[in-house]
Amino acid sequence: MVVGIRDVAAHCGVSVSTVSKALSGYHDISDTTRRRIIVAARELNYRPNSAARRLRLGSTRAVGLLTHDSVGRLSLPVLLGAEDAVGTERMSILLCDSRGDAMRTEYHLRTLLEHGIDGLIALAGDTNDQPSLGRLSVPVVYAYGASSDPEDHSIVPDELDGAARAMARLRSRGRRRIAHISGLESYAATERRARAWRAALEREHLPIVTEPLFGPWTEEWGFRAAGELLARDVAFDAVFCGSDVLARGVQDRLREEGVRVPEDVSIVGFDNWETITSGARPAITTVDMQLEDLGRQAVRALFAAIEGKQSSGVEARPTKLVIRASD
Amino acid sequence: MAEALVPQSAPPTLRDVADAAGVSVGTASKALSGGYQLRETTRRRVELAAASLGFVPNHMARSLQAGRTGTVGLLASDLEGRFSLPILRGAEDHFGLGDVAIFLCDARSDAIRERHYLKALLNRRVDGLIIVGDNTNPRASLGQLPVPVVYAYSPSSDQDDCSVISDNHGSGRIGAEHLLALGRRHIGVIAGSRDIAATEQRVDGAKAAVHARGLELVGGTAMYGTWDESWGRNGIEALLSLDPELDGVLCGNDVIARGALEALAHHGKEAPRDVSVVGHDDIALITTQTRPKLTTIDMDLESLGRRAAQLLSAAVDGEHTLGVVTSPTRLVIRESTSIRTHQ
Repeated sequence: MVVGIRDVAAHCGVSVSTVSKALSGYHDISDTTRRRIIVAARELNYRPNSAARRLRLGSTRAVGLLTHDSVGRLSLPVLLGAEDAVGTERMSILLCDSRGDAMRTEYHLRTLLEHGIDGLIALAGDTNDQPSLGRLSVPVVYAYGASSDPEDHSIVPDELDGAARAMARLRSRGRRRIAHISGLESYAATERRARAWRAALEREHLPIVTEPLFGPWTEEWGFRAAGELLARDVAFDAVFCGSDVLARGVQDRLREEGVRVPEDVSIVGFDNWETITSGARPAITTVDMQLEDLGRQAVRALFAAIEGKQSSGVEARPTKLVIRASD
Repeated sequence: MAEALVPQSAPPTLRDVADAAGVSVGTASKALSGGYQLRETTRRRVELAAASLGFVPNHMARSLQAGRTGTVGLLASDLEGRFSLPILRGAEDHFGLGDVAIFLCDARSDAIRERHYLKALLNRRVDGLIIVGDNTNPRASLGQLPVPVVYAYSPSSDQDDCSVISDNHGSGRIGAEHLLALGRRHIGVIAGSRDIAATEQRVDGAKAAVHARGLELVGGTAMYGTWDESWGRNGIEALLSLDPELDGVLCGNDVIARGALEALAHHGKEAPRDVSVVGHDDIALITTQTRPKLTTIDMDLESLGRRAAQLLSAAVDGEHTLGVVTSPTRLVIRESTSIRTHQ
């Protein structure tokens, strides 16, 4: 069995981070503690793994970012956040694009490992669960979509939190009759956002004016769905949309039908895709999943794992509301 | 069983292939590794010999022999990755899965980051580099490096480097020619910002097409502005005030075109019935979503990436191309332009 940093910590009765600090020469612990830990580490024959040691020596390491999102709308913000978290002087990120293809994933994985990466971030193309890569010779952190294996460590946006923020915003604008137009039902994102919509209505004892309208993730569907909503002849004073693209279609239809946004109907979208939201009239209030923050957290978790502090489970990160003019 | 008929012998070697094809081992190796200095007939003869002997090239041995690692670095300067990712895909398609791996690094148009990643990639012993810029303006050369370099999208300022750029003049020309072919005669251009070299080149291309018909652009030249939707709306106001008979509009990008479509609708002018509108870039998120769907110019960055990869493999094989190579753009016709029903 390999002696881990945890064993040293347990032996000395201190925390893992104290051991890590002692062995990496930080100065904010007492000399006696440091000496005790160093002696214990030697007795237990503890060898920090070489990747971790290199990290501490401040040399640059390589992290693979295996993305399943070819469009780059997700991977680039995540990449930026990841780089900001650690600083390029200590790390290089190598990005490989799987194009959502299993064979390409396998191939890129092998090449990255052959080229001596120290850890890997697996970035999903949507928030559905992604298949676990299983046991690899380096730590892996899954981002955006959770790994199918709960033993893996995944960092994902909290879509329930996002939808709840959207609903709270609409409530604060005095809206009570809130409809929901969203994307394809086969997406986990659709199910979560609709669930949070329903939960918010129930919590506030608000009516379900009509069941959610599900369809393709396109502006055209938003446009048609808004038409259907009007044709159903149910009174509504707000629409919570499953994406900004849908929100834009909804807004255009409402404007064409002489319904004023936000005077008559408030709109909140989801995603905060600037090209869509800021050009729209009115500009769309929306939920931002803070992808850069996701990247930062993912790379921090990865570095912790490289240093022996592997976590597991799904970590859902908070979203934020970006208020523009549509609500 | 078929296997029983195969004699129990050592697997065929490169020498066996060379002997069967009647060429030297070096030539056989070049033919099978995709080297570029061979005649097509020789290459085919070697490939046939290899296939009939059941010769399986050993990739590892091949890269060791050639002193190569089978990796290429792609240094991306565009924050949003709008150009890099399609260029990466095109380059990967050229190299083929399993032969060469491409590592993309994000340099963010920052000289310090660029140096850092350059060093990191060279330390990983990449066989060559593709440098992708974030706009069409020329960028500083990286100078002499130990491996070949191809600049993509932004050309190198040094004519002795190898660069592949999008055909900007051509994209302005084909956009205008499309409008002219539809019978449009009052053509305006809502260009983007003038500080990007491509803006002027595209306008020149449009002017050339219009002048060839003895016509002028509305206002004599393009309207220059920013790259956003509100500029598209304002651009239409400007063009309509210059010429109320405006019937064709070329836009600097799809976002501008989207604003233009909205402003035209506001004026009771319907696209494509009254005015034909052409965008630029083919951003699917916009072009397939507008009503009507947007005709646009696609820079076909994947094929630009393929071209860059081709030039790079040739350079790795010792065949260097100097100067700037242009990669053609193409017109994608959707609903916002159409054949005029009345002449």
